[in-house]
Amino acid sequence: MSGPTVELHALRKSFHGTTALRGIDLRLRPGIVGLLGPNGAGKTTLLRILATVLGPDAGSVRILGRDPGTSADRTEIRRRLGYLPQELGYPRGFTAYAFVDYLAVLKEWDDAPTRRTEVRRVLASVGLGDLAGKRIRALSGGQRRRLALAQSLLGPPELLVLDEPTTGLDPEQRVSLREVLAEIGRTATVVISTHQTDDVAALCENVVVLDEGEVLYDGGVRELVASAAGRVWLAETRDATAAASWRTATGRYRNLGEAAPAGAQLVEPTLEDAYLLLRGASAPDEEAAA
Amino acid sequence: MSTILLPRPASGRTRSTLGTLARIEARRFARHPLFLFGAVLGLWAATTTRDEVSPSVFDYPAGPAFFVGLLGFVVAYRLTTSTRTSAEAVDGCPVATPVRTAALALACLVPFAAGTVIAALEFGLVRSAALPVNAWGTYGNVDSAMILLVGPAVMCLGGPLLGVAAGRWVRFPGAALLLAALLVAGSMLAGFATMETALPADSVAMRVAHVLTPYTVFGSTAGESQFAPADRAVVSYTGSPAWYVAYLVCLTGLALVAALLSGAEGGLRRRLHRLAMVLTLSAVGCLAFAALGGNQAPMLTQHDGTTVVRVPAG
Repeated sequence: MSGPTVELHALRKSFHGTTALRGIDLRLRPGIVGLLGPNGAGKTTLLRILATVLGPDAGSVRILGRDPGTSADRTEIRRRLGYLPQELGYPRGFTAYAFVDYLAVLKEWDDAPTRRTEVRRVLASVGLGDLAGKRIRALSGGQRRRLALAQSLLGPPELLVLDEPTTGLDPEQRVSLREVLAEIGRTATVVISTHQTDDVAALCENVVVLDEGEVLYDGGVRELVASAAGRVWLAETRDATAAASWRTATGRYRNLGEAAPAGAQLVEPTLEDAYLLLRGASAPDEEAAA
Repeated sequence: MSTILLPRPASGRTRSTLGTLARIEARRFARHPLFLFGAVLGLWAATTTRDEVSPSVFDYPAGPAFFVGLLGFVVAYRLTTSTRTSAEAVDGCPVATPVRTAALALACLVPFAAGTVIAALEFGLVRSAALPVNAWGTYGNVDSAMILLVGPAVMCLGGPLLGVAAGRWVRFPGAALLLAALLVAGSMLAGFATMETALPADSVAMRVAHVLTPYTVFGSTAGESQFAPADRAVVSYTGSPAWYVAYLVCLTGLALVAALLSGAEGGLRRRLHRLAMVLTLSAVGCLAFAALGGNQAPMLTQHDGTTVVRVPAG
C-alpha cells in the first residue's frame, strides 16, 4: 500500500478569535475520502489548507511528501493538485473553454496542442464538451459548477480537493461525476467535502466526520454504517427519545436510537443514519463541555 | 468519459508560461472595448486638423495620453482584477502572482504600441505641416520630439502599468474610475497652477509643480490665457521636456515594481525593494532636473519669432 498523501498533525486555525480547527490529526492515502460535518465544522478551512491557499496557525502539514509552508514545495504541490473551491466566480467575457484554458496555462500547460487536448478532455469529462465555446454568463448554475469542476481535473491531479462538488448538479450529472471521480480515485487521493451522504456512500472508502473543528470519526464508510446497526427503526409513531426521527414517504417514521419504539421494525442503516447517530452521540458531550 | 492521460507539464517552466500568459493577456487587452474605443478616438484626434479649434501644437500630446494612456489605465485595472472572483482556484495554481503580474505588464505593450503609433502619426503630421515660425516656442527638435512623440508614448505605457499596480493593491468598487479621476484632477490642478495663478511662475515651487504630475503641458497659445499680450503668440513654460520624460520613465518603472511586489516573496521581494529605492532616487533626480532645467521662466514667442520673458498682464 502506498504511503500517505496528506499528513496533518495538531493542525489549528482561527479567524478573528473564532477557532475553525482545533488540533486535527489526519493521514490520507490514495482513494476517495468523504468529509462530512455540519455547517461551521471547519470542512472548508481544512480543504483550503489542503489546497495550499491557506496556511495553518499551528501544527504540521505535509502534502504529497512536501511542506506547503515553503515556497518551492508549495509550488511543487500545486503542480500536482486539483482544487474546486466552495464558491468560484468567473472573469467577465470568458467562454467555458477560455476559462479552463487560462487555468491550464496557470498550471503550466505551455504547449498549445497538448493544452488544447487536455482542456477538451476535462470539459468532455464533465459533459461540457459541446458548450466549450459558450460564454460563461450564458451557462446555467449547474453548468457553471461543472465548469468549476473541470478546471480542478486538469492534470489529472494526484491530490484532488473538492468542496461540495455536487451542489447544483442534477441526478444524471451526479452519477456521471461519480464515474469521473471513481476513475481518478484509482490512483489519486480525492477529498470530497459534501452534505450529500449518498455521494459519500456511493464513492468513498473512507470518511472523516468533523464537528466544531475536531475529528469526530476517521475510518471506513462501511464501519461507520455498521456502527449504526441495530439502532435504526421504522415505526408508526415518532420516538421522542430518538437521536433523530422523521416521517418517510411511506408515512412511517424513521427513528434513530438505542431503544425500539413499540411495534417498530429494525431496518438496515444508511450512512446518513450512522452520521446522524454519531452527531447525536456527540451532542451530550458538547453540552457537558459547555 | 475520456481516460487518455497526457504527459504532465514539466516543472520550472516560468519563462515559457510567462510568454503564453502574456499572449493571452495581450489579446484580452487588444480586444477590450474601452481600449479599442480609446485607440480609435486617439487616431481620429491625431488625424483631424485642429487649426481652427486649437492653434497650439502643444495640445497634441493630450490625445494619446488621454485616449490610450488614461483609458489604458482603466482597462489594465479591470484586466488585473478580473480574475479576483476566481482567486481561490487561481491561487491554487503553481504560477505565482508575480508571474501573472509580469504577464499583465507585458500586455501593456499593446497600448504602448498603439500610443506610439498615434503619437508618431501626430508628430509626422505636425512636422510636415506649414506652421508659423513661432509654433514651437523656444523648443528645438529634441525637445519637440520629447513633447509630442516620446512623452506621450511613455504615458501610454505608464498609465496601463499604473492600472496593473492599482489592480493588485487597491480593492474597492469603482476604484479604477476614482483613481483615473484623481490622475486627471491632479494633472489639471498642476496645469492650472502653472498657467493661471498669479504666483511667480519662475519660483522653484511652481516649476516643480509644473512637472510633478504624470501629464503636463509645455506650451500654449498666449491668446487663450488671461495674459493675452499678443494674438497667436506662443508661451513656452518652465522645465526641461527631456528630463520630464526621464522622470516619467522612472514613474513607469516604479508602477511596474509596485505591481510586481504583490505576492512577491523572499529574494524577489528584496530585489524589488532595492529596485524601487533606485527608481525613487532616480525619479527625484530627474524631477529636479526637469524642474530646474530648460526655461527658467515662461517665455513668450511672438509671431515674428522674437522671444521675450512673459510678464503677466495687468
